[in-house]
Amino acid sequence: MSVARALLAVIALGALAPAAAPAAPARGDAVRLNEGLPPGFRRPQVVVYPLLDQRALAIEGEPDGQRAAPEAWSAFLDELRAARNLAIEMPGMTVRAISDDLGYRRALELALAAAERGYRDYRDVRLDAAADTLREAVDTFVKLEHHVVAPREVARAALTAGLALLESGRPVQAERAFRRALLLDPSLRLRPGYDLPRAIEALDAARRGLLTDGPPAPDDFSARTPMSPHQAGAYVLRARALPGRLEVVIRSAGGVSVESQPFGADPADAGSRLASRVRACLPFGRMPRPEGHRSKLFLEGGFDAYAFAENPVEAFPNVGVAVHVSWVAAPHLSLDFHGSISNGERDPQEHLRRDIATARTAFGTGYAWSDERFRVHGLLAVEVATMSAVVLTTNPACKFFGEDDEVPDVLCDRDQDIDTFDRVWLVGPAVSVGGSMRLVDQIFLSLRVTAATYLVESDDNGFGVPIGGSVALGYRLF
Amino acid sequence: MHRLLFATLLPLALAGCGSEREFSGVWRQMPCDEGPASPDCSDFVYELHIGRYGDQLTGIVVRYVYDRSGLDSFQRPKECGCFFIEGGVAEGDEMRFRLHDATTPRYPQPDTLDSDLGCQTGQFSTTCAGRRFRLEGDDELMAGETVCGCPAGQADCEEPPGLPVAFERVVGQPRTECYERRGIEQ
Repeated sequence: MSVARALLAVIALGALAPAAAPAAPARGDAVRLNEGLPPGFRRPQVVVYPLLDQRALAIEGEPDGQRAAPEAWSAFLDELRAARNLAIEMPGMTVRAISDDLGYRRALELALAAAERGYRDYRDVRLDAAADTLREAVDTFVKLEHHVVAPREVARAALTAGLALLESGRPVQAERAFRRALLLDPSLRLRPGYDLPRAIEALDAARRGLLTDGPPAPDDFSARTPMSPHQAGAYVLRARALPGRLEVVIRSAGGVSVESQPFGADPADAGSRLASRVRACLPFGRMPRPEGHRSKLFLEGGFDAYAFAENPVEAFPNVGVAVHVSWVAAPHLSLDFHGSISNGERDPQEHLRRDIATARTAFGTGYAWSDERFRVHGLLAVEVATMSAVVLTTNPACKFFGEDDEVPDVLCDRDQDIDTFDRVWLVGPAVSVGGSMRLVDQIFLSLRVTAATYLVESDDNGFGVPIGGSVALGYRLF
Repeated sequence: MHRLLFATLLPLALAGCGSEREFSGVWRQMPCDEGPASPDCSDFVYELHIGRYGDQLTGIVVRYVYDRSGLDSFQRPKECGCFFIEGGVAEGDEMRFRLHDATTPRYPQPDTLDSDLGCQTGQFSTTCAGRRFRLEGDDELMAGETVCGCPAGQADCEEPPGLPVAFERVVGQPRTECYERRGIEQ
């Protein structure tokens, strides 16, 4: 009994071994970068949009460009580019990705046509129609991210919509349109001497209002849904330069966060610092998974044949049908079930007076090795078997004459000369080794040699230690 | 591949085949004028109902009155005793056995009266104790001798010489019944 328990423990330990494997300790990002990234390392995709320089809002008249912001921005981009664990899409690539999109180009044609209609309405002094058409065109431009590709063009449409509203006597709506135009292109200005002074003043008032309130980030900076298909699953960086600082919005499916850095005395250092903080907000990336184990399930059906090595009569074959299920749950480790139903032939002397039917089931863990064509497997299992009633006699007269025949006791005394055993139940360890060869597709031929011994018996009928084998056709289910 | 399958399945297909059942069946003594002569032919002929189990042999022997006219002797009206086989042994193509209680034949049919027998009362009983058969042959024909041994307790008696006999196999199911005398008619 103790042997059986020990075997059960071994089998259970074998089944649980993969789950109990210790995990590798975590390592820092710097260590991993220094060690080098392995092939197959999955880098987080980071999409960087062009900088929105809102410092231009503070400039009276037509801005002539600034130096500090590009220097900090360049340092920021350089620092990001140096991060080997990130797949960076730089601003130029982002603009190209947007403009190369076929859907963008098709929709842009319609939006440009709408904008052209709006300009025509404005020139023809159909101010309400012009305002509506241009506002809708700007909305479409923004949806297409055309303001990233051509900010001045979109801002000009918003500005014209504002002019139409202003001239139609709707100054509040006009100011909202001017603000929108300035957020799209902070360097947008009207030209004194060419545009209406009232319009110049209104735009300037809107500009000063944005400065007073602090220029807000455009709505699309924090949009939760990806603006373009190529952004799916990516981390999007939207940056803007404000008076005295550089601000970056990090947007992903997981949420939105903002990092800001004053320019200080050294704009390049400020850009680098900001990039470091942004990197800290981004995931490091995923190491390639070790060669993953795919569990496999093999089903077999075939024939079983064995003989009892422990036998009160001459050895005789037992032949039957068998099924085998093997689930390779972990590398080289399988959980197996074997079942068979067999019928015993008569022994040569025919001492057995009744066929023996035996049902055997075995469940255990196995070792399996396989390549593309061949597979070898071994199995250690617990077998539970049941054997039908056994009737035995060595007396030939008891074999020849029936129960109703009148036979002298001296020739056949049925009470003395015939042994009868009822159905027995048997439990014990079983081992099996075998091999398989793939024939075609997922179909394979399997040969297996098995042996078992019974440690627990409901009655001792003299039979034990079945040794034999099976031949089966199998199918790999997955 | 096919050879491998064949080599695996062939032993299974052949399992159980063998000579363990050879001699099992019904054997009749050949007529005296057609086979090796037997002096017993003048009185009786024998029908063997044999079951062989490995190297062991058992069954019954039915005795008939020999019909000198040449008609078939192996008919129910000519039955004249039934004996159990005892100590039967089969080795290769040879078998030997003796009749159990050879001096007290049993009836081949149930509820038989002596008058139903094809032999006279005097013929029914026999003084031939320990009759033995030793035969050799194949699955169709067996030849050998039968010896009338000494009665029990007379081990020092002089056994007569063996008499040659020959048997041929006939189609049929061996009989397994040999009935005691009921004492209905003495």
